[in-house]
Amino acid sequence: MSILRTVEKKEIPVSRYQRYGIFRNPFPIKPGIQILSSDDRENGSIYLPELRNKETSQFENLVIPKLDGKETRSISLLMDNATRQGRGIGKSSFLFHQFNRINKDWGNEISEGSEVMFATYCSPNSSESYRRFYNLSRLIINNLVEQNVLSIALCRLRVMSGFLDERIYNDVDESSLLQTIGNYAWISAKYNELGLPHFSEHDLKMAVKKQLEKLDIKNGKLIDRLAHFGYSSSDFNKYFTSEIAETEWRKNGSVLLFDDVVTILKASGFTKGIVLCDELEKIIVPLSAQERRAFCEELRYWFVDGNNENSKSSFFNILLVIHPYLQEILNPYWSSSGLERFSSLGGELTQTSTILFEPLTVEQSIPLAKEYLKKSREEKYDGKDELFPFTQDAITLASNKSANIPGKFLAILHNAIEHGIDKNISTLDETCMKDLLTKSSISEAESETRIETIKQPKISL
Amino acid sequence: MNYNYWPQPKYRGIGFYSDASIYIDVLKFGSEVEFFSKNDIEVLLSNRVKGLSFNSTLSKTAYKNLLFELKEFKWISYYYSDNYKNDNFNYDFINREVYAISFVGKQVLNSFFDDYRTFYNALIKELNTLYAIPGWFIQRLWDLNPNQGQVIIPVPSKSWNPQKRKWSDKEWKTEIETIVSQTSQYISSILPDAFPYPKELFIKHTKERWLELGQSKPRFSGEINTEFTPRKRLSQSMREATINYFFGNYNPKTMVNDFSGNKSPLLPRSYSYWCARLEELGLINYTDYNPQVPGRIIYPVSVFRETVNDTNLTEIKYVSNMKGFNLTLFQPSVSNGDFVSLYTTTLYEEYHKLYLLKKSIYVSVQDVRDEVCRLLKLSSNLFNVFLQHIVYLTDNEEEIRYRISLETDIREDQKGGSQRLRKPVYVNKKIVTLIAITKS
Repeated sequence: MSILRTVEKKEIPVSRYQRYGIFRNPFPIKPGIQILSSDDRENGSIYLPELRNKETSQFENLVIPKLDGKETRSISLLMDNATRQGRGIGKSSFLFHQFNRINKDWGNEISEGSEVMFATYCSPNSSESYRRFYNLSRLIINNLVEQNVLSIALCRLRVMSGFLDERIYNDVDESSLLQTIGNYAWISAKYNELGLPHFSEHDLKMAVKKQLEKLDIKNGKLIDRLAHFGYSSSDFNKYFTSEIAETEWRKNGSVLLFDDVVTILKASGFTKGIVLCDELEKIIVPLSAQERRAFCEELRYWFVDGNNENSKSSFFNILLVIHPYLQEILNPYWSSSGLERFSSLGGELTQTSTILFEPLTVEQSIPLAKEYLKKSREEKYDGKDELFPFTQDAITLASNKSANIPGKFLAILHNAIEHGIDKNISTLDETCMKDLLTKSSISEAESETRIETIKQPKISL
Repeated sequence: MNYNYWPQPKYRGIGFYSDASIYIDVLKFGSEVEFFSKNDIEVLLSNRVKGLSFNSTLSKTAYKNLLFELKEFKWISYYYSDNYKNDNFNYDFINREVYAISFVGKQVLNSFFDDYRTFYNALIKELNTLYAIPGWFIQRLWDLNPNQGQVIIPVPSKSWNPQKRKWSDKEWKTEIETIVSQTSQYISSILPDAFPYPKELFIKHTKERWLELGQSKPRFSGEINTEFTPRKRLSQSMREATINYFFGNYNPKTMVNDFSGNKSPLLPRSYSYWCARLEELGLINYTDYNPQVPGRIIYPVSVFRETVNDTNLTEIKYVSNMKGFNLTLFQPSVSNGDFVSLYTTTLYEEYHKLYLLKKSIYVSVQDVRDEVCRLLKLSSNLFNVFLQHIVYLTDNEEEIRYRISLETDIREDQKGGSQRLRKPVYVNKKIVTLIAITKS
């Protein structure tokens, strides 16, 4: 008998949501995506690609190289056309979806087999400052490590080193590289199974290190640390990236990323890297005019035509997510640093380098609601009315009130379900929705209340 | 037609104090000592509070005026005049300016602690007798706008704020004339009766004042390269032109002078002071912060009546206008249930309007107060009284449908400039700055 009280989180057999034919609230309670969450309402796995067909094809057009060899842009922009109405339009969802699409098979499908690609997602941390470009380089490096891109690259190098016997590859495919090739215990077990001669982990690591040493790497410690710790993102972070001093980052952070890391990634067989950089305003807005100018110039140097491995081979394609206001801030510096020619920020060629992200239409929000409801349906639900407990009018009203911004829309529906359960409402129809909306939050879409003309006094003396 | 003139004021100079409690402070001090001198008062009254900031010490003139007024009111007297008959009187005091509280002064002081309104009413009477301004000002407001007496003293709209100019660049430009004209039109369209100033005259007088201000030497440096802010200069010109026109001796409504002789009863500097004082006494109220009106809206919360049969009106018997009507103050009591519910509804409406606009649950209680007072003809003090009352009701009875929450964070815009001097809202003797109301 333990002195500690523990509980097991399991599905409650009779849930309070039963009356609506669902076993949980179908809509997410937290705003935004939590990609590491196991809750599929929150981690972006409920996604209807058809709602964003236009944006997806624009994305592929600008950022993803295809079989036809059309040139893609090193720097592209995603413009959020609805900041006026607040956040929640679905950008992070969209980006995560593309991220998963690319990484599931290292870009095989999306690039029609023409590239071996990875995608990495970066979002600036509000608590850090990004006054210089090296901060962005550091952010990208940390994300590459955390999202296991470097570890996968090392596993690939292991395979390419020829050190391992090819027979063990029978059970391995590209999606499980880390757990198999990257795991010494697994390899060792396989060798035992096949009766092959034993070798130590150290030998394996040295084999990879030898390959790395053949490359032109500027950072002395990198090779050594990668060889020893590169297979585990936490170890590599502990023994390499977090040990780099701030001054070292400042001097060589960008070189580390755009020369050394690119060299290694290329050597491991990757031909393209897609960097999805979200929330650029967190970086740009706090900067002074000079700093913004410096940012644009460095962006150009490292991504377009500087003297570094990335620019020479156009390895990275970066997608910057901006707001219309950010465009206004950046424009002068963008053109004066010469970036306008490569990637039009504000000129007439904007369509050729920008993906415009707009709110959904009302017609699109209904399938979205249906999809969320579907994923939470109880098994015994007969499913004829896909929108139950909502009526179509209620969904339409909610969509209008949230100006068709998915984030808000889903939040309204979440609250409506909870409200309906608490108040024992059988169907959440339009009147019920109206009632709920006026009572609770400020409906932003229509509260642009102009001040009325000045009132006349109520009391006359 | 009545060609009587208003009685001449006995005195025209005015001391500038922050508020009427200064009289009480002196009287209280006087009640605790046998006699006091001007120096004693100067020491007593250093460091007073106005709005959210400390005021520095008063000027010498202000102290002189204060004692002069109190003597005229007969609330204090020269020590020797009451006491020279005493046996052990020290004859040194005969020529010294040494004062003591008088019998009337003691009564006034006691009445203050029972019911401060008695004190204020006595003060209204005394100030009116001495200066003639209080009663006259109210009558003038009602003359200017017979429809409830609301009057606007305008400044240029907030959006007009051009760059600083050199002192030498002092001509009257078309741009300026356009702004003045637009302001006049705008005000006349939203509150038609409140600006009875013909546009051409308004432009003419503003222009004259602008040019006058440009002629003078810059105040601090006298160098011709000093700069001035056009907005400040235009605000001053518009304001002073309006004050001179509205509150000069010549009455625009009756078209004759109110006072015999040619002296103007109210100059711009004394106008500022009188606005604040009359507001404190509960005769008028005003706001500089109405979002739709650039400038100040003044409105009387008092009126001259021939007979008084309304329980909401308090009569001040010794203040009357040329028709012999007495001045009455609008002072509904908290026991007037109808008014309490009107107040509550209006409070909620104005709160809700701001809530929708600012999208925050807590809004500035001063902004709400200014509009509620304007709509209900309340003085700021009464607003506080009613607010306190309904807060008490909501805490203690379930019939009231609202929950009111008051907080005292200092808001950012209160820290700067004139907002620091804006009159705070007091509930249970504490300043509150934020209010939130929910329907329960």
